[in-house]
Amino acid sequence: MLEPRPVAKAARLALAVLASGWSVLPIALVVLASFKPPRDIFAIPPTLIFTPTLENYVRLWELWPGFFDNMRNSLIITAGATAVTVAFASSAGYVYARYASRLLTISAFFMIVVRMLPPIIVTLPLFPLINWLRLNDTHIVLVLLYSTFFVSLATWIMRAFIEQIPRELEEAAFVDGANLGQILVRVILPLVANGLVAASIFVLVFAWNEYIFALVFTTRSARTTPLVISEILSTVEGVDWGILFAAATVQLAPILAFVIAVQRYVIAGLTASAVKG
Amino acid sequence: MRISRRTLLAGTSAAALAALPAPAVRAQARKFVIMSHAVHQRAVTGTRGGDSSAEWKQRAGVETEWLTFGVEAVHERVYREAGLAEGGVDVAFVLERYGGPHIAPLFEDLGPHQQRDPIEDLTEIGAGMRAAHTYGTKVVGIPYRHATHGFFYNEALLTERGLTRPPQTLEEVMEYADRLSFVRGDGTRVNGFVTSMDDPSGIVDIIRGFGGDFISRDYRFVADAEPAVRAITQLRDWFRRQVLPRNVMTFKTEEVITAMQQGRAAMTNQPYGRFDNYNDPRQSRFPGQIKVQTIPALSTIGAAGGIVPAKTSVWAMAIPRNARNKELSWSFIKEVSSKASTIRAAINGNGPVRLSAYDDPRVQELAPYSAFERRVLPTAMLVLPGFEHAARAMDIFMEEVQRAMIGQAEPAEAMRSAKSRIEPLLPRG
Repeated sequence: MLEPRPVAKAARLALAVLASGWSVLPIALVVLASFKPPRDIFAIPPTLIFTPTLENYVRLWELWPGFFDNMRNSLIITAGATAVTVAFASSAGYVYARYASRLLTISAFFMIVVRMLPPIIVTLPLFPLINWLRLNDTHIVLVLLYSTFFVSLATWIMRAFIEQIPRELEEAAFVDGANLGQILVRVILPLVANGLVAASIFVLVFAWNEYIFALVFTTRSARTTPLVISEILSTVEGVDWGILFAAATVQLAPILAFVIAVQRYVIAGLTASAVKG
Repeated sequence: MRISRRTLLAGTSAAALAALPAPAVRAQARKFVIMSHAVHQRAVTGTRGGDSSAEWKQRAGVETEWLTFGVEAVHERVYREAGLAEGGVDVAFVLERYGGPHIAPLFEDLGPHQQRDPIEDLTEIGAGMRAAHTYGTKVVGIPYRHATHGFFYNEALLTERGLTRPPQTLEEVMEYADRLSFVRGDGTRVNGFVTSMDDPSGIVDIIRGFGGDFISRDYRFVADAEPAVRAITQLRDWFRRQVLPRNVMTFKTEEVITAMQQGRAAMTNQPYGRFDNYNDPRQSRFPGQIKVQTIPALSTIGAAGGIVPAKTSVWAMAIPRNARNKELSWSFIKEVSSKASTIRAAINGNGPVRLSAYDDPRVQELAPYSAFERRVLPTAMLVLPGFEHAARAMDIFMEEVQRAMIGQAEPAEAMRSAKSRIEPLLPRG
């Protein structure tokens, strides 16, 4: 293989730095601002060297205790939606990878259609139904809705991964006496761990930050943190940006920690199914 | 008995449905549920002035539960909850800007309640404020909080430019705005004037300062008349000469607050309640130096030193038509609307709708602007009277104003265009 020329290498590096900066800079500014005294947040020129303060976090704790209470709801709903989606997507992905029929083609089409619908279209007609089912303001309603919207994408991710596993492995397990469930759990899933993580990340990020469904279907018991952030932003007395940036940073932290923890799988997962055969 | 797979599935589904938890609002039936913005909860239950609902809760033997949301979200929730067959909200706080005759059927008529069990001295609350939540003869809400515009100026910047007193007329505002558009010694670019552009509230003050208006109380579009066109021409001139910031078209309330706090703007028109934000040492670079007065009008309009009938907006308490115990809801409204409660709420930071609250020394001490606010309250006006398409009309108006300001159309032409687009939206005859 030819060594890239130094100029091309430098250009690629510069592009990579630019692309990273483009994505990271706004987030870095929010995180930095959360540690600044409020009066310095919008100073021009921006203060880059400053004494960090936890004042904004303390005030978030004091003035918006609901933010931390509701984080528990966000955790339950996100974990629930991720588990349900991955469980269904793995099973469905297996079926789509291993079987072919007219019915399956039609069902695949409908899964894609559900994904294409803008959430707001289904939200309002669903409200009376959810209310009638007495599911309003429960964790389960958001778990089901988030799963419904992401099960199609996750299914296609899992299908791509499962298709790469040689059928011979399943046949060997079958000869050894394993049933379908055992084959799925003990043979297939360990081999598609990267895909599971990749699918989980999509659901996790969506469920953690989702606003519209949470706004419509929760009131108090299942309220999630994006609703509180929206309330901090939609004040009638002027936005306290320090508190808002502190809340945004706290909201970002768990998801960032998770992605960093599983980044090895994410990169492998997102690229593994790109080339087949 | 033979149990088929279908029977088993149907049976377990039915059992699962029966076991599902009830909606939380209904589950806590003994609680009195109030849906509002967080600011109302602080006004009613704050510690500085005291909890206006404490005694009522004891007497009524109920616990209150406040469900708070952002401004838009609270209306979206309230209207949706009120549309259900069975309701879980006992009292809701609503802003007139999100109202109109179309939402009236969702709420109880409070007129008969007032006749049967009257709130003390209700007429002390301005007629305009009460009218803001009355559609036809139906009283939908009892005013609780107002946000009325005053004229803010940064005294330090005025002094820096050799201006020793605030402007007394709109002509002086224009002169001051020019002098206050400059670059400070530390390199900070100061704009003489800023206002929010996301809705017409900031612009309408200036139009009224010229003697014009946007939509009259009898639903006529009047912003194509000469005074309004002159006002918009002035705004265009300010924009061209960068008296207004170059990015003013994107300014919402938050940007105005930041510009004033940072000293990047010298004057603005905003609700009096912003006084605390502007002078908060935590957030402002000019604490204690940003002052407020009434908005001056052109000297040729009325008596010299005349004031603009400033923009106001009014939050009111309403009872959803599906509330469980409307008598109880009314008794809560009556309690927190009393004179004593209004003063308590004002000390908790509320904009009091009763003029008498401004006479209380504690309120005067906490709100140094109370004399100005008291003066303007009787003449303050809504941006526009409520009607079903008010939000759309405001959007169109701002589109056309901005078109004129950036020079895409002459102000008169833009207002003619606004008229032709808005008139079909107005209630007829």
